[in-house]
Amino acid sequence: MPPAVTKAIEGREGRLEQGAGPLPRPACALSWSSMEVFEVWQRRTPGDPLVRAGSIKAPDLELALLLARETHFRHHEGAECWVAHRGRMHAVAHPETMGGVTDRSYRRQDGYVGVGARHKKLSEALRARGLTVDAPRPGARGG
Amino acid sequence: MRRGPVPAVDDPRVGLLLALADDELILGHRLSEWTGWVPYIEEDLAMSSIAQDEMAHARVLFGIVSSIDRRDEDRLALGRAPEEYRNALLCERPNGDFAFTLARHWLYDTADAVRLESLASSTFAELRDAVAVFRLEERYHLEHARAWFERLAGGPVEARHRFAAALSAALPDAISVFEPLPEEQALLSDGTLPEPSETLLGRWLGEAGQALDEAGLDYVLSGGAAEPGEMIPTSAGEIAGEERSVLRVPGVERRDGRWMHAGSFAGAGGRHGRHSEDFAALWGEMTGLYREHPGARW
Repeated sequence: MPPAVTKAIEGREGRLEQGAGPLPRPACALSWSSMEVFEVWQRRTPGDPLVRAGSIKAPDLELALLLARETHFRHHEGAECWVAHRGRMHAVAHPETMGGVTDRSYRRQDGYVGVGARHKKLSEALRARGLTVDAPRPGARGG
Repeated sequence: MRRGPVPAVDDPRVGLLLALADDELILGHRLSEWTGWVPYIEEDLAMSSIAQDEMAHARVLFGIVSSIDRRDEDRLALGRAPEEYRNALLCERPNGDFAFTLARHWLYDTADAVRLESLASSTFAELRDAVAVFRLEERYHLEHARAWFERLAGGPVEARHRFAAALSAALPDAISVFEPLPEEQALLSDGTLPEPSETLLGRWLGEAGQALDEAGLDYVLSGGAAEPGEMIPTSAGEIAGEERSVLRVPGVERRDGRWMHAGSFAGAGGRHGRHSEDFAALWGEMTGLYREHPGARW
């Protein structure tokens, strides 16, 4: 180390070590315990919805924003890059009951499968007896 | 492919273009040595991307040189003798530890920003256009460098120690980024260089000094003030058959609350093709394939 450096360190920082012996040398400047996980989101083009691009580790939000772009966007993957701290995202409880556990298929589009055919068959049977359905079909236009 | 002696093109702009390109090429090469070795993967990718940006900038500048003297890009990047490279000594220093690499990154990118800002008003249109593009990418480099500056400067004692030591060690080399070019007078007279290198040095020291003041790291500058005119060994001795030489860089002092340089450059450094021992090994590795297999293409 050049003498000027040693001198500068003694002048200012050396005091911090007095009496404490040499500081332990970490393997690298960053400690893993200070790392946070951030979820990274992208829009492929400006009008697209946000979708997840992946995740990254960073010590804080500012570095997460700096590192997300080179981790997930260095090949022109998207028009926008967003990050969200995983610790600030919250999962809804009891996901196994989402959408209900009993039969409510009538609420779904597939609950109406065959309604048109049944309506047609019934109309034909009524017509054979000289009757007609004069009320419009629910939702039918004009009628 | 044409080999052999460098075509004699007496255009001072070539000297400037090569100085700019070689800084980016050699620093890019050094940063690329970190690929796979950075403490963690996200930073590894960022560092490698920055290395690629620097090399891409060198390539654009070699393209402009090529349009002037007809040497092809590969030959400019890899086919020159060591004493024909014009990069500043700062760029060729070995990476050292992560702290030195980031200290050098901060010193170089803040210096480069001052230089590019000035070149944005050059009368040399091709260079001016290239600089406008570089500045878009250099903004990211600068943000990246500043983010790490804050974290290491304000970090645990170990990080701050190592970072300050690295800044002190690299400071004279960083000043040498502004070593005047041999062609400086000609370049100033036609406005290719809007301002003298020394003016840029003063501006950079003012800005960098302020950042160091704010981080309580100004003592890395006063280390230079104690002995104005630090000498940096340069050596093109064995290669050029010249005597070993030194570059003497201006000292640093605080005047009216602002850091500035004191004295001027003497001797010859990277801008004159005089490099340190560190450069020889880098040059050997970087140009090895090109020299072994002349004309090899990707």
